[in-house]
Formats: sequence, C-alpha cells, structure tokens
Amino acid sequence: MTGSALVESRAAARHARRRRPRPVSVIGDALLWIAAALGLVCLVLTVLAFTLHISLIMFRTGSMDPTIPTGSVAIVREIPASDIAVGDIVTVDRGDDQLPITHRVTSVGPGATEAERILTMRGDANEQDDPYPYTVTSVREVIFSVPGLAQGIASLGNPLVMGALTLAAGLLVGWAFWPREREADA
Amino acid sequence: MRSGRRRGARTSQKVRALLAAGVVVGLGAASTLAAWTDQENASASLTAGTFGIVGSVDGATFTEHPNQTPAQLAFSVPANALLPGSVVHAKFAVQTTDESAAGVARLAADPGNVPADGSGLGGFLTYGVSQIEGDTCDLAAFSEGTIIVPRGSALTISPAAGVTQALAADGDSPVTYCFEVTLPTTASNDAQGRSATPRWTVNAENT
Repeated sequence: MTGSALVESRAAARHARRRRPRPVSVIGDALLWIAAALGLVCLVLTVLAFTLHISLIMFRTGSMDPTIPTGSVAIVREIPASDIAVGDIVTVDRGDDQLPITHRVTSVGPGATEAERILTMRGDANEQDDPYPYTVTSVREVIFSVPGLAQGIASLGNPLVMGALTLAAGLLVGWAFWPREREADA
Repeated sequence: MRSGRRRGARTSQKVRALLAAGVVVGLGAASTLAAWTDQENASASLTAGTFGIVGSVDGATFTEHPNQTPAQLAFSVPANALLPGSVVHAKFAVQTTDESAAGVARLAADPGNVPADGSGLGGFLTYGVSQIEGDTCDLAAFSEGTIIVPRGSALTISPAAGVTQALAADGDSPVTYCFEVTLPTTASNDAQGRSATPRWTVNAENT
C-alpha cells in the first residue's frame, strides 16, 4: 500500500515537472542542441578534411604580409605538382628537420620526371625570390586564410585543453546514457 | 503514449550528446592537421664567406704576392754564384687570411722556368720541394718533410696531379714549402755566368 502510494506521488511530481518545465532544463536542452550542431559540423569537416586532403597551415612569420599576416591560419589542399600555376600561394615541405614554407610561386619548370616540377617562390613581403628552387611532386595550395587564429589552434594541441574537452564530452555522454528509474517504471 | 514520447526525448538527448562529443574529435583532428609554416627571409641571412691566402719567405711576415710582384725566395747561401754541386735551400710559407675559410693549396712550376731556346741557367738547374713542419729549411729538414717534388726534377716539373696541402681556416697553421735548388756536378761549361729567375705559383682553393 505504502509502495503504490509512493509511486503515485512520484508520478504526480513527474507530471508536474513535465507540464511546467523548469527554466534550467530549457536552457540545458537548448545548449545540448547547439553542442550537437557544433559536433556534427566538426565531424563533417573532419571527414571532408581527410577525404579531400585538406589541412591547416599556421603562419609564424610575416613574409606573406599583407596577404597573409603573421598568426593567420590557412586552409590548404594537397594538389599534384602539375596543377601548380604561377601566382599560386603554396606550401612546400622541406624535409623532416625544417618547417614547411608557404610562398607565392614565381616560376614553374619541368622536373626530372613527369610528375615533378621545379618551383621558384617569393614571399609577398620579400624583395627577392627564395635562394633555392624547390623540387616537388605535390604541394599544398592555400584556398583561403583567416588572420589571428593560429594561437588558438596551436593551443588546442595543449594536453590540458584537450583533456578538459574530452572530460566534458565524456561527462555529457555519461549523463545522457545514465539509466533512469523512471523509464523502468513506465 | 506518454512513455513513448518520453523515450523519444531520451533518445534525442542521447544522440545529441554523442554528436556533441564530435566536437572533441573535430578539434583533435584540427590540432593534428595544423602545422606551422616558417617564412624565412633569405636575403637577410646570407653573408658571403671569404677565402684568401698570404705567403711569407721568412715564416713570420705574411703578405699577398700577386703575379706581378712575386715573393723573392731567400736562399740559404748566396745563390748568385752557384758552382756545379751547389745545393741551396729556401722556404716559402702560405696561410689563409684572417676570417678566411679553410682550403687546399697546390704548388705549380712555371713552364717558362726552362726557356725553350736554351738560354739562361734554367735548363741546367734541378730542384725539389718538400713540405716541412718546422721553421728551418735545409738538407735534413727537406729529407724529413713530405716530398712534394722529388730532388733532381727539372724546374718545369710540378707536383703530381692531386697533391695538395690542407690550409686551415683563419690563418691557422701555415703550410711551409722547402725549396731545394741544385746545380748538378754534371753541368756543362756552358752554364757559366748564366742566370735564371724561376717562378712557382701556389694556387689555393676553398674547400
């Protein structure tokens, strides 16, 4: 007897909650929708980045100023060397021990093989071409750039930031999947 | 009915939570895909190195000796009255200039040391060159050193191809050549009173 009364009173309380939702849960619900939308965008972009060979280049120095100032982030896409045209801004890798370089192509010459090209490049802010030509089979072409984002993206790699984000997401998922008595009752 | 709606709301909540976790995946991917690029300005960082050599006949005072004013070797005995059997020695030291890069030196004899028309003393003399460690150039030092041109060679004989002497950078450790010139005992009477002004060149190149 007492048990069923308890269930009834709980059901009544639940009823009341559902009829007049508390403001906190409304805000929480809205935030969850926003977070879900952002997450979806992130997932789609990640898939696109891997399938279309798109990556990000952060600018440490200003030799492409004013086109791409220091601290910019550029969206770059890998293209074969045969698609390079004079005037393109491309990122060329310089081996493991050096950072890649991103400059404007000033000339394209044929290389030793069909797929190879020999480039000369110059930063927009430089008066001379780079001292040595670059021999490439593929480069990353700058599609567009956004000033000022480099520091933020670089800090994403920080273990503390990454750890905090992962923890937050884990808590959210854990909360959403936490088994509730309510459902068993119904 | 009511429970179905509630279950739908719960499922929506779960799906949205999972999608929200995608933010972590996306940002993680962004931070791994992002790379720094370095835009060095090459014209500012280049400085040409210098390379030069100076020579000395006494091992102490080193100066440049261009083609027009060669260094006059100081022979150990007066070389202006050579008799058959006379052997004279003189040294010539070279080193790199201050701030110069390292390199190699190569000695060469001038083809004009023995005139083609047989004039002068050049055709009668023989010589040899040895690279010596010390400061003294005499018979003993010559034999101890590294023979570059063997004794008894004609004045036009240069060291064998590929024989070079290493020059340290910045004027460190000069290379000293010990020249030995001989008027052989077999010299004919024709040699009397004649003179010669043989010339050797030290070419150096940066390595």
